Amino acid sequence: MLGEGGASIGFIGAWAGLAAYTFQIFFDFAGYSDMAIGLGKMFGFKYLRNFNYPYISKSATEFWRRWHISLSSFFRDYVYIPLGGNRVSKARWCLNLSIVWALTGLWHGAAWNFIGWGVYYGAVLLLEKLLLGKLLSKFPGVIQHLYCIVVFMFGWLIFWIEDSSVFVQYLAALFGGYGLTGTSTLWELGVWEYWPVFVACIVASTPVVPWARARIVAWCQNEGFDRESFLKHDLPGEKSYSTEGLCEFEAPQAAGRRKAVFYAMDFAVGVALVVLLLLSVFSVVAGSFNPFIYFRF
Amino acid sequence: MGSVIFSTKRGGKVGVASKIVFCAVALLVVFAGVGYKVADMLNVLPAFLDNGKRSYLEGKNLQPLPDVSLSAFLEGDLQDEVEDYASGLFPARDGVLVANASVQRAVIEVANVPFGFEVWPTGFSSPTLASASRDALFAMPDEATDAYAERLEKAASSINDLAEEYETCSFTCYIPDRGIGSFVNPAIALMSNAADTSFIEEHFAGQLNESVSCIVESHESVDEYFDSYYSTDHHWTINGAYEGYVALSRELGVATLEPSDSVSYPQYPFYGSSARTGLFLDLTDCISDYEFDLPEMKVWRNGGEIVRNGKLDYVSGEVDEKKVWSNGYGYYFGSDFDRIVYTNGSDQTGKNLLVIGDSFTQPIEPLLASAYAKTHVLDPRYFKGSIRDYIGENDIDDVVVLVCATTLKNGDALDTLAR
Repeated sequence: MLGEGGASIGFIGAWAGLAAYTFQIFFDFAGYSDMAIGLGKMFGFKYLRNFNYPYISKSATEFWRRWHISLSSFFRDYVYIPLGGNRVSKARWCLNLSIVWALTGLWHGAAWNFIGWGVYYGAVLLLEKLLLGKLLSKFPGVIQHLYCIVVFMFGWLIFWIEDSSVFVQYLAALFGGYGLTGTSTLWELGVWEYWPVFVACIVASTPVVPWARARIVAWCQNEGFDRESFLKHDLPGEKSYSTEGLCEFEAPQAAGRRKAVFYAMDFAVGVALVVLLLLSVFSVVAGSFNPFIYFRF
Repeated sequence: MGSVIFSTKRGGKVGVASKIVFCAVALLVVFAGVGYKVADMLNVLPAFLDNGKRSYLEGKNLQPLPDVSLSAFLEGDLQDEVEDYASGLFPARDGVLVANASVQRAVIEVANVPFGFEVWPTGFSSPTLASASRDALFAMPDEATDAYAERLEKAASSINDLAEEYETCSFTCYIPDRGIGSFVNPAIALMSNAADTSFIEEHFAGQLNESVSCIVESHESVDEYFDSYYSTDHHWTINGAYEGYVALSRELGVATLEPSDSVSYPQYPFYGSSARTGLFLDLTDCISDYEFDLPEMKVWRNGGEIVRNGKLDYVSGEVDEKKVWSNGYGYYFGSDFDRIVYTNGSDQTGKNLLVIGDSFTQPIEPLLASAYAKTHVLDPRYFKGSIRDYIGENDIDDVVVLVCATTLKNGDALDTLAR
């Protein structure tokens, strides 16, 4: 339903569809990257992290430090810096950024929507560096997050839709041009079925798990823990994008009852991982479900 | 346990033991398919597991080991087939499908709490709807699109052409309710553009010539509907089928048989088409039937005379545990065939009947056949010949078109009607 035109899905359908795509592209790509990192580790290779909770960013600049890190590092080291980086005149620097982002778009595919997506980010980053950056930093964190969410969601819209007429219609739906639900009813849209999934996606897009882990470990070891926001949680090896220690859950200083609690949680994590593995396998197996069509006749 | 597989720092017996347990479970899941195949080859598979060759739930054979070829690889077919093959190898695959749908359904039911909709899909993207107020499953109604309307009108036009060519034949159409477009389906009220009964009446019944009579079945109440239709299947029960038969007999002007007794088979749970396509096995029906004093008849299916039928298999207890998930309606009343012919030796009329029908005809074919010398049943979805020629060649007197609206928009059926 959400894949249909903007006129049939309206404001709610358009935003839900775009949100679903936003999560899909992140979990899809970050999942593949994690698989590569894990498989590499099994064979003794150490890869750097490729995604670092990009959807918690407060600006497009920060977003690109957290999203597809290997690609942005490549373009920085092999295109941007050889072109002169930012140690050139302002005009040349703007050109360098534009070239880098047009190439970044082209890297994703030889289609106008990808080039448009690259150019869009080039423009947003230039805007942030020249005008918006200082202004944004004066706003509360929530506003900065909202700004960034709007920026990357519109980016995904350009990335997603190849047909320009469909794009315009979808854009109109995003701005309420076809009413709340378009020509459909809310039930028909089916968006309501997925809100628990959206909640799970939002939670999984933030470092709430490593933050909770750090809190648990601190409590088990009877240590203090700063009352910081989980969005600011500093991940192990974040600065170097190392994956070492990312999955460790240890409390060597724990003692007494707290040690027992730690072992219980340790066990629960193991069970949860096995359940998640089973659910994932079930989902993959169920993907081949294709009942004999004449069942319905 | 969880940390142990990732961490190399903590040791001890507990750590080693949990490491072994976790790895064993993970390996068991990942390599289940391989072990399953080996166990099947060694013929040591437990009886409760199917062998990865057929899914009774889906009603189809599973993907066999794919043939490797460069062209299949380049076109991506090989990758799809390997994926399907690996998926089919997973132990108790049908059970896994049902479990996965149950998880999805649990999420959807939680999601529905603040909205309180009357019906909801039995899984993400499922074409089957579960109901809050009734222990029944419903099919997702079709949308009233121009394309659907065109198909219905094309079907009506083909029947009109036949009726004009064979003026001496009577033509009667009967469209069973099946709950997909009638008011009994709660989704109709939740949709903006559902193809309801009035849509069928306008674009099919309303397009037929006056010489063609048409009955678009409808029910007065939801209870009446469920007296005539299964809760988990789109077909009519024997009650509904008998009502359809009585209505048709009246239109055809032939004598109606009265049932002498009724039977039902609650010992065999019947998971209908909605239950199976919706992977919702919490509800079951049971097959019931009427007994009639039928005249002696011979039956040919696709040219071959049959001596046994599904009813005997069903009654004799051959519905084993796996086949419980198969299409019980088709199993009992008969599967779909291109052509079935009944000859009635005791007939006095000498008249011949042609039934152009889908699976809804199966319970009432013998009843209709009892009033004719020869009854031909053609399934328009499978019959490849020309109906026009068939009527002429077989000296047909009466023609009954007994198909549900879903068949009327089926491309193969439309082609057959037009031939």
